[in-house]
Amino acid sequence: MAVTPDPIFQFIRPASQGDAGAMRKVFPLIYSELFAIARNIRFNFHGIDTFNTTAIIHEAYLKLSSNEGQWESKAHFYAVAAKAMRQVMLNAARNKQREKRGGGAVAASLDEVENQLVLSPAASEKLIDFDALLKQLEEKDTLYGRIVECRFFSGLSIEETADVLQVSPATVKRKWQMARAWLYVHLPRYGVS
Amino acid sequence: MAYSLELLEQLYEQCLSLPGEERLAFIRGACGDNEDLQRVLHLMLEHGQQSADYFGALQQTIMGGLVDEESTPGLVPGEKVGNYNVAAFLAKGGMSNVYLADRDDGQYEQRVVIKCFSAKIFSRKDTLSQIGEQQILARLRHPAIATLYDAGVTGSGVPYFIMEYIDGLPVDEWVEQRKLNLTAKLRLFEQVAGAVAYAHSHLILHLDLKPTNILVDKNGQVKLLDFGIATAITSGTGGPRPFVGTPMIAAPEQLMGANLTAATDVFQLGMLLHKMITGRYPVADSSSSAEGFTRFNPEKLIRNPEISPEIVAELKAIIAKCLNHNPEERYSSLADLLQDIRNYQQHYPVTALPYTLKYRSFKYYQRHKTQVVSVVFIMLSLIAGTVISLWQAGQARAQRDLAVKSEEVSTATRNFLLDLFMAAHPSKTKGDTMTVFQFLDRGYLEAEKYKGSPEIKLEMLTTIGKLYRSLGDYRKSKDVLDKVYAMAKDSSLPLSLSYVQAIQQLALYQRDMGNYDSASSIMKQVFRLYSGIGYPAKDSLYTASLKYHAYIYRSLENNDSATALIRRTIALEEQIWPDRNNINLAESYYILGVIQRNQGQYDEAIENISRSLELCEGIMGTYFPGTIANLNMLASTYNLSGNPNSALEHGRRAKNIAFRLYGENHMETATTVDNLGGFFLKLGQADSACHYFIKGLNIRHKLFPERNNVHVMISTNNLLSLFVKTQQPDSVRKYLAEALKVGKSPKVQPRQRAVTYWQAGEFFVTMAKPDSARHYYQKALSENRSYLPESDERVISVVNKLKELDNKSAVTTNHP
Repeated sequence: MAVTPDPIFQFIRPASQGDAGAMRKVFPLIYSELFAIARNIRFNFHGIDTFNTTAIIHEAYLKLSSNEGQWESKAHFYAVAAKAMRQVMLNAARNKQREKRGGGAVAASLDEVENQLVLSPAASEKLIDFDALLKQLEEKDTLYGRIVECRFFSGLSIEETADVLQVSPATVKRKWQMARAWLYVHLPRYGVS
Repeated sequence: MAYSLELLEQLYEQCLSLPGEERLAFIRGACGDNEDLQRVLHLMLEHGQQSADYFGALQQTIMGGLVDEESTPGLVPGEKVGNYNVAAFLAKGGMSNVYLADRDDGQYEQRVVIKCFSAKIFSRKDTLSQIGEQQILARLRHPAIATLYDAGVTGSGVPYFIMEYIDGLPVDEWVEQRKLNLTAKLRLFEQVAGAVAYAHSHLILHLDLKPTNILVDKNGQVKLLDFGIATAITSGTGGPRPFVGTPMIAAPEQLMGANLTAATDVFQLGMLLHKMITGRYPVADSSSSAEGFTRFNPEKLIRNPEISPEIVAELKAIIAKCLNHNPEERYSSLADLLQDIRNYQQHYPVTALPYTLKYRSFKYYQRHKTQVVSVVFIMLSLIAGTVISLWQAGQARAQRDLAVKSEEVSTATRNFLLDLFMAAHPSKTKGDTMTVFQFLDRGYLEAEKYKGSPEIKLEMLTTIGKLYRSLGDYRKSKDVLDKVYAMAKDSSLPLSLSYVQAIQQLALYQRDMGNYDSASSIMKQVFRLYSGIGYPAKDSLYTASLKYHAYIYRSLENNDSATALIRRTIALEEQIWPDRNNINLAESYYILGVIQRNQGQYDEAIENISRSLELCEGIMGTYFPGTIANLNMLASTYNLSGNPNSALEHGRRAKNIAFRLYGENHMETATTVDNLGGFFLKLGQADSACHYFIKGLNIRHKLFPERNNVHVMISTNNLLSLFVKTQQPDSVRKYLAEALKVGKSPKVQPRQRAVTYWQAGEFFVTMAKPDSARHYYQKALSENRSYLPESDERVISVVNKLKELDNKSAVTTNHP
């Protein structure tokens, strides 16, 4: 995959600050990079016990930031990468669901490679439910979505998340705790609407 | 009833800050009749922990989904693999399936484990069996390493390893189950690290030191599994290096696909130690370093008491040192790591604590106790003959040089070899069984055979030559360095820093051989080369070279050039480290002070040495060899400048620190003790002087039972002088006989023999035996003349003594 670092790094900062146009430009690049790494890991990652997504993002970061001087702050990268990671996971889950429903044929728009992420049907279902709920939460306060992306999808620590989102660690901690509890009790089984 | 998320968040947070029993009333009061809000709040508070667990588990499941589950092949019970019958399926690992099997050749019963892998992970079919054979040939036999019996590929193409069956628990579970205390945990950890060190000595890395690979059997014996498997998988593949290991504990260089060295295992052992002590791995933490992402910031572990609070500071420092992002900054060998663990257990200062350079120089002196090391130590001190040389020759420089050089040319082979060499350095092998020279010889053979880049070969040979030199094997060192020189001259190698460093080694070799002229002229060439490659003078490698050269000038008694060079060094170093708070700079002030002292400029000398002392103590702490060197030199300068009380004060401090740092039986300690004796003698307190001189001599006798070197000679002379001065003929005869005997050794220098003869002359004058006196004065004169010019005071004073004797005898003959 021939991704030159240049286009990405022009747009990272505006994208991380919410510029939708910039996000549209940089997102696919990071997304495909993360995906390629995730897939690669699947083939090369042996002896796996536990794994955090942070490793994937690190690798993407290292790969894309290999040209020196292009990179002012890794925080911006992480903000975007966290979103991309969410998308990678969610798409894999949706594919799984589609298969399960007998959809068999994969939509043409999806990269063939996405199919190769193996998610169990149960995990896929949980992930899709979770994402739907997270969207509700985000509608009320976008910061929740971004914190969950960093903490859950990217496996960043409280401090890293705070750094990435330019808020205090205390805020991240509070909102993360709140979001987790809120999402949990709103999962279908509790029937909280 | 609707409620705002903002309100929910606010109430939720308030509830969390309240004790459990007050929450109910609070919620009732705050929510009023909004039942939905009440219900959600209750649920959220109730399920705090579950929600955390749920998302944690979900994260794991999702990531687990990334693992390829279908591609690991299986064996079936009853299937035959080599001489073994598969008995049962045992476990499934991420990359392998594990089976129990029994030996099936009717010879004897043996239960083994067969591990089979996906064929995909071995890029070439023959890699596995090759590596397996290599490992078996390498005879990795250690009580704490599960033995590998066989490796190969089954008829159906499944790669496998057959290894010892271990009935045990993963080390973390063992620790928890047995509720081990810290001491027991550390002992267990030492077992693990010891086994890894053993494997390193056989050039095998582990690279996946997770608890499930470290079992403890019911007798408490540690058994490491899967040694070399990671190496087997990583080696022999073309293209990008696949990641092998466990990301949770992987070192940064593993995640980045960079070169893996012994330092990678050091990193993982740091993770393991944290896990064993606290039950969890250290929390990832961001750092603002510009070089990219740091998964874990070791600085923070040390500085922030809230991180891993259950670990004491010393062990935190040790762990942090293992976890350094930069492999060069970690323990350079497992021997070092183990030593630091022992330091902690024995309440010695832990060298990792000041975190920077301290441990390096410090450890050099801490591990002098084995004989090998004593020998090296003595060699080093003989070579330069002064206390500073020991400091100078300290590990710090050697390691720094290597670290800087390795940035220049970097290959896995070379790094690993370097690590081995460093591990093999006697200052770092306290108690290790392998001998240093075996190690080096092996390295030499390998380097000779090396067919790759000539620059790397040059590097390897330079390193080996350097190590031979510092170990005192000058013949081999010369041998290697000659090859380096031929290579450097011959081949079309581009001028490079490696080349310059190689040439510098030749200079240091000549210096060590006492050929200071030749050393000096080679050093001049080194500086021409530096400018040839456009190397900046404002660099610590360059200033180190300047310092070497200044030293060589000093040995040539060319004080002017020595002073000029060391002043230039200082000027540059003050630019490199503008805050002047640097240990290299401290060393330079010290050298300047020593030169000034030798020229009789005592006030300036005291000023510079004091400045060095202050820096040393500030940066490295009191228990640092440099501190002692400074105190000794300061004391002796005070003594020369006619201030024996100040001399005594500093001498006492030096002695106390040396005792604490080196223990009683150590060269450095003996030196401080002897110095004290000298100061007391100057103060006219002969009894105290005698006490210390005898103590000093006893230490040296213990250190050198053969009693045939400079140090024993100096101590003996001290006592001889004392007894001559206090006129105790019996004691004089005793030590004179002793000194004459020691003086026969070729290792003793003329100047020490001259002292003995001079004192003998003095003694026989007081005993009214002019013939004997004349005999010894003449001997003293010829010794002095062998190395001093006619104009030297020491020559002149002996000549005068002889004249006096002649006059007296002339008077006697004229008046019978």
